[in-house]
Amino acid sequence: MKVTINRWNAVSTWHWDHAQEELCGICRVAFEGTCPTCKYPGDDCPLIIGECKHAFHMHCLLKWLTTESSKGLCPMCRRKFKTATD
Amino acid sequence: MAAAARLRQRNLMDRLLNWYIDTVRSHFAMHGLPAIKNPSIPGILSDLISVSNGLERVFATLCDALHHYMFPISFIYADNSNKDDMLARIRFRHSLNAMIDIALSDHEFQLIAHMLVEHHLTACGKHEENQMVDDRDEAQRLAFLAEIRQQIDVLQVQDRMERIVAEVYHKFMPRYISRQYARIWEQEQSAEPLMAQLKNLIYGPISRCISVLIRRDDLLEARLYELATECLVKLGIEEMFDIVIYFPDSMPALGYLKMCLKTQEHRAQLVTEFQNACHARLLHCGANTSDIISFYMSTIRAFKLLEPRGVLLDKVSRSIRRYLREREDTVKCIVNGMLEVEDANTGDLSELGKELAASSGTQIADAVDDNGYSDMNWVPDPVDAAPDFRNKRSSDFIGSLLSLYDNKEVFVKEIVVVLANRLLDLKNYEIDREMMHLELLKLLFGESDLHNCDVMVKDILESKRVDSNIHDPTTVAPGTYPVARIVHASMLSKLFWPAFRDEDLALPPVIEEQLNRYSANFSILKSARKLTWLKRLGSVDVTLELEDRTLDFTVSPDRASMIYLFQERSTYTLTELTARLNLDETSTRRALGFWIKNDVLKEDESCNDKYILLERAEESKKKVLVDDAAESSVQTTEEKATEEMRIYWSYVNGMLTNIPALPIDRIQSFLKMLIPKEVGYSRNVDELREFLTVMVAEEKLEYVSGSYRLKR
Repeated sequence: MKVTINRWNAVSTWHWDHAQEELCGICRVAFEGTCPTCKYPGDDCPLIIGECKHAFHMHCLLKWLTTESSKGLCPMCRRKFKTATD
Repeated sequence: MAAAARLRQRNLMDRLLNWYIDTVRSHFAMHGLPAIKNPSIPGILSDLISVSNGLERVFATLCDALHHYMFPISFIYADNSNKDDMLARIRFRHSLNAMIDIALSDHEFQLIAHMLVEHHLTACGKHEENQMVDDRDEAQRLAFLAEIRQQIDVLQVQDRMERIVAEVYHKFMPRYISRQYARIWEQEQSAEPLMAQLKNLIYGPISRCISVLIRRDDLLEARLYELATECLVKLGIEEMFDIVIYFPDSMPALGYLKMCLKTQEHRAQLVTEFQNACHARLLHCGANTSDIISFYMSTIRAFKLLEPRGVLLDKVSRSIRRYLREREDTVKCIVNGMLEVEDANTGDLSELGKELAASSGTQIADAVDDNGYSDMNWVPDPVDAAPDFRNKRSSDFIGSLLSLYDNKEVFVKEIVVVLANRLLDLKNYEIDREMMHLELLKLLFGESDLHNCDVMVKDILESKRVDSNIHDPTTVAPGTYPVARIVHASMLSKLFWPAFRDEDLALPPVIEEQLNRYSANFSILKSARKLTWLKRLGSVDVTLELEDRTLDFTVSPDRASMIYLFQERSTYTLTELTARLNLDETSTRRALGFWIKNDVLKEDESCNDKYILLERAEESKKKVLVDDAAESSVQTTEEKATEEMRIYWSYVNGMLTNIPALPIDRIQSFLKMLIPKEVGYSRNVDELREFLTVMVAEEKLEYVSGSYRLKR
């Protein structure tokens, strides 16, 4: 017998390749979910990872950085927040 | 005359009259009555002639006797101007009438008269049905009745005749109505001509016939007609259940019922009868939920036509609604119907989908202006409206069905599950239909509740884009291998889909390799993101080339992987297969069953649990019954509910540690009482029972004589 596969419709789920944490430290929603202002996860609501390796929803962090009290620090480790460049 | 005058002087007249009356009475009893009575009459009452003859004979005898007895009296009391004479004649006449009355109360006379009247009424009915019976015939009959009327007048028995006519008419009309008007569906008729026909009959032949026999009365026709409509209402009330079933073919029946249904008693009776019929014929476990739902939809339509206010509908639908709420698969049926899913188990309710598209959804308003302050045409509700009756927009039955449950959440949950299954079953990312349905549902349920569905649809659209990118040779990133054209994938946002069944499966190595390349390409396309494969989900198109035949299938991945294995060897045992496929035994058997049913594999007769590939088709000796229904790829709502119940396990556990055994009601009330508000407990007893049953299956609990206790 010969089996020919004509088409294989596979199903997968995607997840962010960032193993350390599950939830955004600011909004406490899973990274695979959305920040409070977004409707769709993924491209519409990307992550941002700092040099300190802490990750957040990008929108959450940007909002945090615009507040007076943030002083441009990472909300988790209080170091200067700089986007990781890798 | 002179003698009479003398007698009167001596005051003997009274005594003479008394004596004469007595004599007449005894004479009548001896000779008159036997002449009227004729034991043979009932036997020969077969045709009109013998009926008429019988009646004529009775009347003739009576008239003879009357003349005979009256003669001497009219001779003596000849003086019409004398007051005493008048009184005496009246007195004698009374006693004669009394005698005739007694004679006529004879059973046989009643019978004869009944038959006569009945015959004429029936003839009238026939006349209406069949215009061939010409007018001459009617004239003859009327002449005959007029003759009888004369004798009735002579004998002064109009009262008796009226009673007989009334009785016969009361019997005749229901029969006539049920013959003419019962089950008049599937006919191109409307109610108006039918009613006009009835009116013509009553105001024409029947009224002519009856008014010959008895005293005319201005209200005669009106009363006769009223009685007929009463019969129609009764018929309609009896038939209401069938009317709903055959709706809309039963429109004429509904039409006449609407015209005749006027009194409160009838309305109440209609409601009770209909509810009884529902309970006896529909609301039992033998009926499909989808049938009940479509019956409910017909009920809504029919009763809305019958009574646009919806009071009756409100009353009759209560029991149906209550019953539907108890059914487990009601929500599923409704949702499948709305999404036009054809499913053997739930039946076809695609009507709902069409209705959804047609109504283009008015959102279920949570708070509407119930008081109707702004409605200038407001009228009070009918008196028989239930206290909590509200004129809901129940004409659209989607709204009615959705209002079955207090919250829309149950529907939303089910919609998510059904939609997820539909999206996963897609072949070519073609989601136009689903998108249309989703838009309609959003109008109904509101955007926010169906947000998850939005994300799901967007996932599929995004997958389509990514998939075409991955297969586009110009965009293949350097250092990666292109993915074979046969592999396509859906990439889902896990959190927005119902929980998936995550079960492992060993795919054919070729495919495994392709999937790895696929995810590598994905990670290049979407930086910092990775894919996890749900290997048992999806679908596969395969072609099997056997020695004597070529077969095409669309199967689930586990079935495809299994048949792929049979390329290497033509026999496997069950254990080998489970090991190679990394599957549990049940799923393996299920997959085997599929291929056996399609005559690709067979079970080895000599050795149990050994399966052989059929290179050449064989007459299959035994058909294995296989559950062919594809497994749902996502957890069903019930499973999910049970899963969510697990947070309450610690409470149940603690409770049963303190008190050894508890019945389910107690557990329910304890949980309601004990669980802190932050956690919240809003499950009903059925959900709890479901959960406890799972716990029993997992051997954490045992169920002994109506109570649950911890298993040790």
